[in-house]
Order: sequence, then structure tokens, then C-alpha cells
Amino acid sequence: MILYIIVSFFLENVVGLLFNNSFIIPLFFLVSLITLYQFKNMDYEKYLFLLTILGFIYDVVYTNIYINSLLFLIVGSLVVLYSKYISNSFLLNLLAVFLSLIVYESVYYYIYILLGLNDFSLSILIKSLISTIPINVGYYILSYLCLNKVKAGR
Amino acid sequence: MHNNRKYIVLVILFIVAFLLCLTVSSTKSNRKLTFVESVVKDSTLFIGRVVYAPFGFVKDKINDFRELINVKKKYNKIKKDKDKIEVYKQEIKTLKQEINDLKELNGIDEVLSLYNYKNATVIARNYNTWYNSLTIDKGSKNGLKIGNAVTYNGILIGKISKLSNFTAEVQLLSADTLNNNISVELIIDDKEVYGILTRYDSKDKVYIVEGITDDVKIEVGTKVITSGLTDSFKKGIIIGEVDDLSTDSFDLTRILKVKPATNFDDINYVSVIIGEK
Repeated sequence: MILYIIVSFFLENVVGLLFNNSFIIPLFFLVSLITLYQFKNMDYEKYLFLLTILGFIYDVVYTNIYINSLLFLIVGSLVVLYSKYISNSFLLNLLAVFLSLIVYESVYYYIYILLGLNDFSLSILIKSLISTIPINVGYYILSYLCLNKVKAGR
Repeated sequence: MHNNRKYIVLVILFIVAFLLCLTVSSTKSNRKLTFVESVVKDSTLFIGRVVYAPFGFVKDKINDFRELINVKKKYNKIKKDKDKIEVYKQEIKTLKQEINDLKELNGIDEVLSLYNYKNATVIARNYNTWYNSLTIDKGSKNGLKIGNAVTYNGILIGKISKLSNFTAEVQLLSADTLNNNISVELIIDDKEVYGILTRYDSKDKVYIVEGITDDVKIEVGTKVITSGLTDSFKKGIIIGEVDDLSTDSFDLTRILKVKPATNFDDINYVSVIIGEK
């Protein structure tokens, strides 16, 4: 699982540089962190703490603006709440990833507006959601299949 | 139990408030990276570069192959221009000599349009800050300084905003946060026309240039370059061309919409202007 998270961290940047356009937005690291909670029934306090620390590292390396530690914490809290009330099945987990991506992109966008770093434009938000969801949901499905195989192999 | 819950809510509120403060303070564009940030960034991006290397190699080969397909067309074009190249070469040689003579004659140490480059590769670019910044594989150890102009194929795309030892963050001209006005010059035959590039309009994907006097006729397609009058950018770096003209609400000054000469989506390699030749 640790290897999967590390690979996702670097793969996100590799895919971003390979496609090199703003129409494909890989969020593999976030997807891997959501998958982590779904696969390992971690203590939620530890999980949220881990998410905040990893958000810091992610910000230092890729963005230089400390925004993801807060966003990861928000998304992580939602994932914890969701898992508490919804049963653990592939489709429902997929729905959790789908909703998390929408929340992440929307909150990110609104924080940027609040900070005066972006102008308000609904079309930009919709475009970024369209760019985000397919590739990351695809990555989640692939990860789910691989991790399930590894789990079954053990 | 009730007290315990209250305590957890308070801790969460404190953490969120702290993170929000951190977010706000980190958005300052002139913020310098701390030692820890610099070390973590350098070491992690080094691993990132190693991971990306084989993929980058394949990507470059594919691009080379595409380029190869166009070679025939390019060859025919170059063949036509071959004779002219010799003339240009000679002309450049003469002009360089003239510049040196004039510099000596007038005791000028610096000519605004001559500069040295340091080439760099883009090693990280975050999707949410796609049009705001990118990270390159050269840093302060390579002679880069904060404020150095960054070009792509000779076209100005931004400046160095944050530095670590082996990496640097480039603030792009397409950034919504662009907070320094850039002095620009319009290339019009017999007149020197100056203006100020104030911001980037992300909706129309154009730069907004203001402060143009209304006694000069400007046409759509007029080239816009850096004027060399500000500290950050030397003279003569291409920015774009005039796409549209309008006047401000008081009808006093003209506002130009300038179409960037480059596509900000597709930037793989850049050149940083590090000083005079």
C-alpha cells in the first residue's frame, strides 16, 4: 500500500508532464489516499493526521502554496464520514471517489477565488471537473483491480 | 463525553484556522523558500526526474519522429532561404561589430538587447496552478536569480519567482496573480511606442496593455516586445501581437489586447535569461 501511494505521488507528475495540457488533470495521489482508507480500516484520527502531513509534502514539492493539507483534510473527513454510513462495495467506493473529486476541485476553486487568485467563472470550474473525473476514476478502477488481486494473492 | 466532543471540535477548528492562515501567507509571490522546503523539494523532484526520465525519453523520440515527417517540407523551405542565410550571417557579424564599437565609443557597459541564456527542463507542473507556475530543473546553484526572465522559443513566458538550490519556480505571465507591471514596446516603423502590460485576461487568453498614447496609429498584428526599461526584463524579448484595440471608459487612453506568441499549455523546455553576454 505504501508503494502504491509513493508510485501515485510520482506518477501524477509523470502523466501531467507527458500529456502536458490542462485538459487532463491527474489527481492520482489524492485517489490513492482515498483508496488507502477503503482498503485499510485505519483509525480515522491517524488517517486524517497522515493526510494533513502528506498534503504538506505535496504542497512543498508541487505547488508552494499550502492549500492541499487543508483540502486533503476536508476530503479525508468526508471519506471517513461516508465510510461510516455507507457499506463497503466497489460501486459505492467508486461513488465516494467521484464525490471526493468534485468536492476537492470545487473547494480548491472557491479558496482560490477567496484568495483573489482566480476570477469567478463557472465554465472554468466545469471544465476542470470534466478534465479531472474521467482519468482519475479510471485510475481508481485500475488501482482497485490491482490491489484486489494483490490482496487475493496473499 | 460531551466535554470530549467539545474538545475535538475545538482542536479541529484550530487546525483548520491554522491551515487557512498558512494558505493565505504562502500565497505571497515574493515569499522565499525555507531551508527545509528547499531540501524536500530538491530531493523529491530529483527522484521525480529519475522516474520521469524513461517516459520523457519515449516522448522525445515520438516528437523527433513527428519532426522527421516534416523534415522534407522544412528542407525545401530552408533550401529557398539558403542564400539569404549567408547574407544574414554577415549582417549579424557587422551589427555585432558596430555595437561593440559604439559601446567602446560611448563608454556603455550594457546593451539592453544582448543576454545570456541558461536552458532548463520543466520537471513539475501542477494542474490547479497550470497557468500560474511551473517548476524547472535549474536553481540558484546554476546562477539563476529571482526575477530572471524566462523564455520559450525566444518568447517571454514569465520570471523566476522562487528558488531552491537545484530547482526554480517560474511565475507565468498567464498567472492570475501577476502583480508587477511590465514595460513593453510596440514595433512600429519610425516611432517608439511604450505601454504597460498590466495583467492577463484568462477568459480571452490575451494580455492587457495600457498606457498607450492616442497619437500613434496602431494596427492589429503589431508586434509587442519587452522595452528593457524595467529591471526584470531585458529589451527585445517577444511577447505577442496586438489582437484588439479599445479605449478606457473616459476615452483618454487606449487599451490593447495582445495575443501571446506562445501556447502556455505546451511548454517542455525553457531558457532563463541570466545576464549580459
